[in-house]
Amino acid sequence: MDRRFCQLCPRCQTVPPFPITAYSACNALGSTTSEVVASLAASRTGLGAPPASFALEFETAVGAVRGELPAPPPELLAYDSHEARLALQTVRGVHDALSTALRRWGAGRVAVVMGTSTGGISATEDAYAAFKKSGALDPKFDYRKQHSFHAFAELLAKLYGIGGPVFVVSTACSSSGKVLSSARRLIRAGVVDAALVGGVDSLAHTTLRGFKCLSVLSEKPCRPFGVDRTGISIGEGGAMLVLERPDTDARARALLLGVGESSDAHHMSSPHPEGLGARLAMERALAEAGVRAGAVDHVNAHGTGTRHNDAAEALAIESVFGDRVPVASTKGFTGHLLGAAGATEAVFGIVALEQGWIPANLGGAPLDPAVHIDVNLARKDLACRRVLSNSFGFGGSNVAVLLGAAS
Amino acid sequence: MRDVFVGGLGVWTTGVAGVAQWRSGARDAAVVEPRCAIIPPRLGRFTSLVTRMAAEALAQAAAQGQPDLARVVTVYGSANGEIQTALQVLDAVHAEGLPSPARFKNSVHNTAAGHVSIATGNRELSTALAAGERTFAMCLLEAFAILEERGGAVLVSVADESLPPPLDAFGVYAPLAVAFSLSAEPPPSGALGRLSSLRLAPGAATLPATMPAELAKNPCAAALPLLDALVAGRSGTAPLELSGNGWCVELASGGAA
Repeated sequence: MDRRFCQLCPRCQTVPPFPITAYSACNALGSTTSEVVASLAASRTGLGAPPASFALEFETAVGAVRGELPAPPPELLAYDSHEARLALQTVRGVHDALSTALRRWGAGRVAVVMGTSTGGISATEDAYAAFKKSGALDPKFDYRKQHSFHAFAELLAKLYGIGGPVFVVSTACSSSGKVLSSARRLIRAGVVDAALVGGVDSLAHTTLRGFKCLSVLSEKPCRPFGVDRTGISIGEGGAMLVLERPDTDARARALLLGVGESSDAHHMSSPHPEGLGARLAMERALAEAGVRAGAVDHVNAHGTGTRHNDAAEALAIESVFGDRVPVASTKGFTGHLLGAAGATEAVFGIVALEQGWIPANLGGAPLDPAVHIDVNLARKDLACRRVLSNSFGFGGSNVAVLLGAAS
Repeated sequence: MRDVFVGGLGVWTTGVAGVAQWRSGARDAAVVEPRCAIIPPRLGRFTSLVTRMAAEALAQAAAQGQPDLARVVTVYGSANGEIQTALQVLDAVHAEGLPSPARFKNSVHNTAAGHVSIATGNRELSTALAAGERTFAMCLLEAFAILEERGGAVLVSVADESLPPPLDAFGVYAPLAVAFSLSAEPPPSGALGRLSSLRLAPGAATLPATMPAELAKNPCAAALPLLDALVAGRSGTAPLELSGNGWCVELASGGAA
């Protein structure tokens, strides 16, 4: 095992930066990364009415991916599901870098580590609805290949002939932030040299109606940190990144500096009221990277738009950064992508590092006066060296991802 | 990666309340529900069998391995997660339009992780993985990588409940949870075994012929060959997949070199 980059720095016990050599996103803002970034830059929301196929009897706004999505190739058609198609569309954006990494390191030295909250639940919802009517499952429905949490990760591995470890992290809405930590561990341990990481989740009755029953689903597009916020908007989509070992000769787009993970140990669906777990996650990300809070230029907040979540996160951010760092939740653009949120918002963080602007916190005005952080209400040019992205989930699962500029 | 020590074991399935009963081979028809004392009853209301048995197996392994429950890292694994709850949610959606809040919030894959962290006041890293029939192998790999990165101790608990109708068309099996208390250094209570060379090596290991028929298709039964070898004090190459033909690990009984 090559330990040149695996050891902690002996002086400060920090983890070395790991290069991210490609990224992609597909969500309500667009099917390609360039479309997504263009909408983000233009402060144009992707939230709108739910697809007619959902036939909801209540009002809400969702972030649906529009347009045709690619089907799996014929030999992998058994994996076909909306989740799979979102994954296939998203991986197109990192195709070149992933193919190069596979050639550079070898198929057995690349892992697939994906995050998802509900896997292919929408496939089972359709199959179950048909079963309720006819008493029989559709012969084309394959639970293992269309619903299972890991099915879309397995599909990606088969599509690219990836022979390393393949698994998903499913810790609700922190899932695809935590994959960056899992994948980096595999590289640090010498198991692989590179990993395709990311997350995918699709719109589903389970989540739309589930958040409705918890009385946290907003009827209108969500308004993170706004004084009149009434809850979340659900979205769908995917985001993927290629993470490689530090001595790669591939050009880094950004650096993974640190990942902080924590548990609230408080409640299954409500955050710690003072944001204790969230604060721990942020502090651990900073400590791991050996970066002081004052060196962070922007925070992409989890910012779901519920009263309790935003209040707790604002307290946590304030306790770590004070009121000096510009904060934006991008849920007002995409909706809450659940298990894909962490990777998606990491991509938004990289865009800020590469392009020198930070997105608006759509829907935040007028701000909640009880929030004492610098919520960034309009897109702003800002040269960023370091960006931190938060993701928190049911079960009190928290992750903070610290990203740095590549040069 | 560094070698990993096994300090404790846990197992629960219908008729088997723990490792001693598993070792004896006797089944007790009265064992139909995990004891799950680690989660207080009030907190554990509305939890599923998969959460309760994952927590029970984890508690057994922790009781033997003695990690600090308030600080230990936990890795949970399940191929199908809260699939019974997911179908209950769908039933409620069909019948009433909305599920119950309690069912919905307990439908996430990391439900056991959440409840145990609350019950033990543990604010450390906790994760929940899925990888189909490789779920146990990937959980063990994650645990090895965590121990390589930070040392200390990790509890691994894998569990899968039976698939509910009509999904049982894709496999009929009894519920099962298996857990291991792992550490980077030999535990004070003594090591049951020492694991090394976790790897993908088709053909390196042979699946024992003793798999109980009712568990043979449970994805988490992939953990049983390693459990059996540790219980029996056997050394050798332990398969980590039901096919016996993929990921495997070297086991030295009692932590011998």
